[in-house]
Amino acid sequence: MSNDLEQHHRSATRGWAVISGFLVLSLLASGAIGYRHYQENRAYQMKAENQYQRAFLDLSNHVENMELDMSKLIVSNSPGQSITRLNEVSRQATQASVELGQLPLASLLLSRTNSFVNQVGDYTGDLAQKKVDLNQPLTDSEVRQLSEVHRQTVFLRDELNKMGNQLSEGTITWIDLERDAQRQEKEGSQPQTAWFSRWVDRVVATVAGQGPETQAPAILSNFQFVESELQKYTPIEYDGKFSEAIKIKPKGLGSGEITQEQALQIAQSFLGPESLQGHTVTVVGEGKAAIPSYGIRVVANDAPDREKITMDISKTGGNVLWMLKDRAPGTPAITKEETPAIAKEFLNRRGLRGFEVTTVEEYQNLAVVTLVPKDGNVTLYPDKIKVRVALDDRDVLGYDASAYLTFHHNRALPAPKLTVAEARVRVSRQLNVIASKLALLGKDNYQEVLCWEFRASKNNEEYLVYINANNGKEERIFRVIDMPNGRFIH
Amino acid sequence: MRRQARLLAGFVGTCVLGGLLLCGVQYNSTRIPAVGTELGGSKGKVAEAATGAGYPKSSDLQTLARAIHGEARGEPYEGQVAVGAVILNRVRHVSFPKSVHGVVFQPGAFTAVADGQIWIPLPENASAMRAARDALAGWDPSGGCIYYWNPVTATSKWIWSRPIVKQIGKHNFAK
Repeated sequence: MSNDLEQHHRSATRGWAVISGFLVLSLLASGAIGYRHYQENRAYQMKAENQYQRAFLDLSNHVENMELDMSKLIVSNSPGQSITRLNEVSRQATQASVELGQLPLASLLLSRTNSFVNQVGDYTGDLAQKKVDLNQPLTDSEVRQLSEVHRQTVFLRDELNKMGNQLSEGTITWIDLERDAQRQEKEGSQPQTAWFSRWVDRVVATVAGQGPETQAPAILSNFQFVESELQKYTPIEYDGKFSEAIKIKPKGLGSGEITQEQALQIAQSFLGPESLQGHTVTVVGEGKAAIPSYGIRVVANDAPDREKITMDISKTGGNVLWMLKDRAPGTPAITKEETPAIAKEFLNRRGLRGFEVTTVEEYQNLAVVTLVPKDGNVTLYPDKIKVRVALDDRDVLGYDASAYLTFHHNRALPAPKLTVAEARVRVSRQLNVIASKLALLGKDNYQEVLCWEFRASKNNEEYLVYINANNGKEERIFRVIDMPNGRFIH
Repeated sequence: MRRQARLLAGFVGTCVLGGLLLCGVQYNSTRIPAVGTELGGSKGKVAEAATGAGYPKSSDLQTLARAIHGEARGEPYEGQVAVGAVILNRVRHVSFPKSVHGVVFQPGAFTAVADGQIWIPLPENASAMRAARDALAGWDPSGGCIYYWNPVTATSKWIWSRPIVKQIGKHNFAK
């Protein structure tokens, strides 16, 4: 009996020994696995950190070069030297913008810094083009403007250098910053609690501009300082695409405000009774975009959870801004060559006449037809409308008139100063001209130029060359790109 | 003895699993959290707006479609096009990188990029691909917005300072 007990006791002890042995082993194993993961993790973090460091250092260099070239630009005195420097500043600014976009700081934190480098790039690029056109050195007012931009660039360069020094002291990493930037964004601009700032104090160095209310890590508050300081400088005055002065007022909306009920009626007549059978149309909300609008939604009565058609109707004038039907068309019954007629017919029925087709793009059993109106014999490229046609049942699945409604108006275009023959001689002799017509071309800054358009070819490539119909300037060259899904101009 | 061994095996298994889970948790916790709020034309797009020129580059299209799929699958179709349009609006905006890839891969800009959802394979005939095409062709249900967020899951407080233009599906869209 006692023997039995003893044996039982012994086997139990042995059992516990085995269990603890396995326990220790498994702990060791999971520890080892954990450590490996930790190491791997560190390696990945280091890779990310190094990328961020590289981006920042490149940003620093590009801004330094911007400053250098800008200072030379200001003292240049010939068109050639000015143009070279302007282009160089523009190139460096573009590069700086690329690097800024790779830093792990929320874009809201850097919006002013980003817009500064993008505007400098845009402004100097445009100015270079202007200097080429006029073959002129810088004017006094341009030098004044550039000196102001230079002052801001010096400020940015110095601040970046300071941050670079802090980074190279190695007390802070971009990975830390990324975390802090995100925490800041989560918490808004509210001051942090005391324990938090104490914790953060290990990395905070006193930096210029760090207000008492911000206790964020140095680089972060440094960037905040840069943001707020850049805001105080005079903005760059020019009329390029990133200019703050450019605001387009929609010109083609017509007049009169409509009510929700009217919006509903407009939607119903636009979509047509046959496509609305068994469906419910409702106004779902109001959009506060550049063109204020009513949002319209159409659902099938037997599937009320899924939006089948959505569209926006402008409050002013009651125009359909755009419409989209959510349907993936099946096997095509028609080719894309048949879609321009369908699109024109669609516009005709809605009182939009005299449009010509510029491009047809096909994808996923759909064709998107781009149409533009004419003013007399002038093709109005800015006023385009897009119509999206299903290749299976010819139904129009989409419509976008936002450009048309933004730009279209009675322009009272003047007659061209150049005849087609006078413009023709300005086209390269490399090209065989196939056709020509008058066209209104929109520029990046929404200015419009009346041009002679020449469709021309060289070898097997087709080009579109635009000669300013008033002064003979070669405004633009596009190439016609033939792709399986359509012809594009670029 | 056999019962003990079984118990033991179970115990060891649990430990190892627990250890692995721990590692997993640790791994996840160090992952960079995404802002989850921000989502965006280039010279080409503006020129497109003005002249009707431009063509979709296949790499832009792929990235745009993947971003839409990662960020807005399950949203109404209009909302998917709107997310694509926000990315393109950013490319055109002075405060953002000047390419589709620059905007989409901007650190912290999109949750779907930070957590890898952008690399989910696109199903055949995905609505995100159509939405990307439509956004590139010019449809913009957002009405020119450069931000959007889901009010339920948004982690950023700053984002609420942006003027809301409209709501589509689960997302607020703002300038």
